[in-house]
Order: sequence, then C-alpha cells, then structure tokens
Amino acid sequence: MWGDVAAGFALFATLENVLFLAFGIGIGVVIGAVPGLSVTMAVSLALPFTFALDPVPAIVLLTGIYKGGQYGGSITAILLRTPGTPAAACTLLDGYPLARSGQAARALDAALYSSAVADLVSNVALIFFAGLIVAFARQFGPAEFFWLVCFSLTVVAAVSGESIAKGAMAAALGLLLSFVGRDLFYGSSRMTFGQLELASGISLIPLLIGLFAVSEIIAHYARPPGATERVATAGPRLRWAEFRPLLSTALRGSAIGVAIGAIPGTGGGIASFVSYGDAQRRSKAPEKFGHGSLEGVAASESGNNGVAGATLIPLLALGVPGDVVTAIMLGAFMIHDLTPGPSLFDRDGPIVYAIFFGLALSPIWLLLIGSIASRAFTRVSLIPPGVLMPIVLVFCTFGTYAVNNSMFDVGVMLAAGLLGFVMGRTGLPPAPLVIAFVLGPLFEDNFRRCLRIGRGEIGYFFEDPVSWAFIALTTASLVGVALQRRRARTGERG
Amino acid sequence: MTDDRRARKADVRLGLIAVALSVIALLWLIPTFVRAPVAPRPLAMAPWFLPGIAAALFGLAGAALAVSAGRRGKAPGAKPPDGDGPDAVPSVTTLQHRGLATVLAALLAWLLLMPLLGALVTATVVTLALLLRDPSVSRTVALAVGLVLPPLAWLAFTRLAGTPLPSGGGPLPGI
Repeated sequence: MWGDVAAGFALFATLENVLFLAFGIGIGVVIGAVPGLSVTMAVSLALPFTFALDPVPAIVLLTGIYKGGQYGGSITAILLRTPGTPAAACTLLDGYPLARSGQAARALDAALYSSAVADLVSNVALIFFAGLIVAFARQFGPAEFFWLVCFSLTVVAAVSGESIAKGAMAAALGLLLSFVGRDLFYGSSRMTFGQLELASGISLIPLLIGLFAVSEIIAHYARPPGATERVATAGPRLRWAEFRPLLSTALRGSAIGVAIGAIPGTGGGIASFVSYGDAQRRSKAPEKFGHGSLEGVAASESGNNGVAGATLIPLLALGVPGDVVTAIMLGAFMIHDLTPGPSLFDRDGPIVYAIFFGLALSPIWLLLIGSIASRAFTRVSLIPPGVLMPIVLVFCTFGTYAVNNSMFDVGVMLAAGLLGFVMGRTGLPPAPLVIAFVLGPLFEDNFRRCLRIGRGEIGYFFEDPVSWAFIALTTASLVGVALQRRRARTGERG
Repeated sequence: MTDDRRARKADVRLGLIAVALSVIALLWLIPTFVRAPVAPRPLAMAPWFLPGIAAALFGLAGAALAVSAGRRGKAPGAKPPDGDGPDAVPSVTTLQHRGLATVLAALLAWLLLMPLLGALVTATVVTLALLLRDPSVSRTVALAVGLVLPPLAWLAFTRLAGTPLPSGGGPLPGI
C-alpha cells in the first residue's frame, strides 16, 4: 500500500496537476455562482477537454469543478437571493438577511470557511473511512430511505418562522407541486393539463429562481421608489475569533453531509437542510435562524459541501455513482481505462492515491480562490437596487432558459416569482415549500417501493434497526421543536 | 383598523382561502387531472393518493391558521405575526400599484418577446425600459447599463458557456 501511496504522490506532484485543480475550482466557483448554469453542465462541458489529458489531471479537473461549484452557488444566494445551485437555497435563508443588514462579507466568509472545513472532512472520510461508510450506506433500502426523508421533512417545522400552520401550508403546496408530472409506477399523467413540458415534472431551478429571486424583483418594484434598502457597505470580514464558535456547527454539518452524500440518490439539497435543522435545534439562539444567523449559513454550507467528497465514496469503492455529476465522472474514469469498484485500488492504486492527493489540496485552493471570488462578487451588493434588479432579471431569465433550452421553464420561473411574491405578502415562508418540493418525489418513490416490496403490509416499514433509529430521530426532532416553541411562547408572555 | 386586527383578519382570510382551494383540489383538480388507469392495490399505491393527502394537509393547515388567528384576537395581549421574510409589505398605494404593473408587464414582455425578437434584443429592450422608468436611476446610467450589460450577459451565456439562447423569429408561445 505504501508503495502505491509513494507512487501516487510522485504522479500527482507536478505543476500541471496543481494548476488543473485550481483551474477546475475556479471554473466551478464562477459557474456555481451564475443561476441556471449548473455544476452538472460545467462538468459535462469539461469532459471532452479531459480526453486528451492523463487520468490524474482529468479527474482532478472535474473534481475541482464539482467542489468549486458547490461553494459558488452560495455567493449569489447570499448577495442576490438567487441560489446558484439547489443546495444553496438553504444558505440564502440566513445569508441574504445578513447581506441586507450590511454583513455580506461576513456571510460569504462564513460560507467559504464552512465549505473548506466540509471539503476537508469529506476528503478525510473518503481517504480513510470509505469502507466503513460504504457498509453504512449499503444498509439503506427503501424503508430506511423513507424514514430518512421523513426525518429530513421535520426541518419544515424549524424553518416555518412564526407560524407552524403557515409552514405546513407551504410544505403541503410544495408536496403537491412535486407530484406534478408522469407517475413513475403507472405511467399515468398527474396534473399536467395536457402540457408535454410538465410530463417530467416542474423543474427545480426555475422554481427556485422564481420563488426567491424574481419574487424579490417584483417586491422591489412594488415598494415606493427608493424604499428597497441598499447595502451601503459589504461590512467587515469574518475574523477567526468569530468563526471559532461556528466550527463545531461546521464539523457536525460536514459529518451529516458525508453520511448523506455516501447514500446514492441523495444530494447537497437534503444534506444542507438536515444540517440546518440540526444546527437550529442545538443553537443557543434558534430564534435568529431565518433572520440572519451565521450559524445557519455555516450549517447549510458545511452540509452541502460535505456531500461533494462523500459522493465519490460509492463511486470509487463500489462503482456506483451517487448523483448526476459522479455519473459523468464515472464516464471520465472509464474513458481513461479506469474501472471504479473494489478492484480499482488493486489495479490502479497509484492513480487513486494521486487523485486523493489532489483532493487533499482542494480545501486550500477553495479557500484561496473562494476568497478572491467572494471579494470580487461582494461589490455587487454596492450597486443600487434600481440598477441591479433589471440585470438580475436578465441573468435569471437566461439562466432558467439555459437549463433545458425551454421557454416553458421561463414561464414556470415567472409564475413561481408571482407565487413567491404573494407568499411574501401573506407571510407564507418559501423554505418549507422548497424542502417539500425537493423531498416529495423521494418520499413518494420510497413509500411506494416499501408498499410494493412489503406487499401492502405496513410492517415492512419497521423491520430494520436503521429505520427505528430514524423514527426515533424524527420523533425527537418534532418534540424538540415543540418544546422550543413552547419555551419561546412562555418567554414572550413572561 | 389596528395593525394587529388587520394581520389577524388577513390570516383568517388566508386560512379560509386555503380550505377552499383544498376542497377544489380534492373534488375537482385531482379527480379530473390525475389519471389512474388501473385499480391499484393497496389503495395507497394509487397515483392520486399522495397528491390527495397533500391537498388535504393544505386545507387542514389553512383551517388551523384561521382558527388560531380567530382565537388570537380574543386573547388579551396577543402579538400579531411579524410578516415573515423581507417581502412583507404593509400597505399598497397607487404608486406601488403602478410599480407592480410595470414589473408584471416586463415579465410578460420577457415571455412573449423572447421567442419573437430573440434573447439579446428582448433583454436590452426590457432592461432599458425598467431602468428608464426608475426615478432613482439617472438617464445616463440607465442608458449605459441598459445598452452594455444585457449584451455582455448574452455573450457570457452563448459564447463563453456555450448555451444557446433564443435568436428570434419564433412563434408566440401557445400559437
């Protein structure tokens, strides 16, 4: 093994590899920051360029894009309420209020440092604990997955704001919207109104951009001229002393991201919301969540970025891609005559360890490049809203169109913008809608698979100890939120 | 009318609208627009089952909101909700109506003009219109930004990222 490690180091230790990694992270950060340009798109576009490269720089470049993109999505989420990636929808809940209160730089720094911590943790997990994590992930059948989704749905209670009833209304609406499209079991259409474009369901990116960014643009024009506060300054940077208390939140979020990322079919969106809910439950100031909490930003970003390294675990150890990006990377491995799976370490040990050395370097590059990018992007918050809003609308529309080359998606974005505006006026929080929309298909799919496998018997849902662990966590989470709200009410009366 | 009373009335109204929408979804939307070609067993496998649960949950949450808002009014010293999120706007004036109409017209223009005129022309026209309409933006800044930034964004998407955008000459949506 040590021979492979030494050979891997020799393979990686070239200027070319180090620069390809930096280049990948740079591209990822910029692409991730532009709404509509997804990391998947960036990795797909970069794939043909890797054909002519050696395996190590090729994989390192693609991994860099993936990791940079995970962080990049948070930049416009914090500054413009426009999530660059679905996972960044959670970051904007606290990041945007922070930016509006003149703390954009602190929010961006908290996101960057938490992302780098999570990147480091997920790399360590990949390099040292891949076997253990794969064993854990292998225990996940439909029942365990179903209860994991139920546990994730309890986050709705945490992000409902003042009124649980309004949160539940938003979540129910999100669930209903998530069921639009073709039924995967029977192939029948559901609420598509004869529109072919709706057969595959409502696209997530147009919905997110509409709900958060377009609604904000509409709200800006609905206010009296000059009433939208301009962030006069990006504010001070985050000092180490301020980040130190957030470190435990970032580490917990990273661990959650790693655990969730190792399970194929999950992703950064679920991890960021689960980590956010966990951080709020443990926080000494849970009431600040949703109104500008640095802890909230740290939790969301660490959960999201913890996933990036962890999705490589099932890919490398089992040859199973955990999401679309790793599926493309599986293609890159195969193009370079590498077959991910248990035999990869025996056949191509030095190449695997060379990739690991590249991964070990990625948090440092992420810190450096992310810091430069966040400083550059922070200037956006200094632009007067009257000038900024029409330009944001251009990026939102182009970005939404670019996802599927579809005008229908632009229509969905505008409709979601109106919905978000109405929700804002009536005090309905958009976050529960997004969580339910993301989790709805996973919930339904696993619910029905359980019924199918268990032949309609409810007992199948409760057969495994892992299921019981998630049932206990779900119950504890709901009881915790109820107690927290009761304490808050008692405090108000007192 | 006090702010507290107005917020309470708004919540009761919202709750009742949710109940009405839920009933419409359960009695008309789901039975009409969710096709179930086979009789599924168990019933929970049916394509309409979970959409029905979601619609019912929406109505129940609405009812809970209406009831709690009604009760909140009777409790002495009850606090009105904050109006979550940065979008909460207390009252609407004629000026705001005009602003709202402008942005809605701009959104509609995006949707209708992009297939006809292409992304570049539509972006420039709509951006210029929005900038020139805003009294807080000077005419020079509006012209400079409106004429330079949309083409730059278009170049970034089409040339740098290689994503095609509508070039115009297409039919109106839905025709």
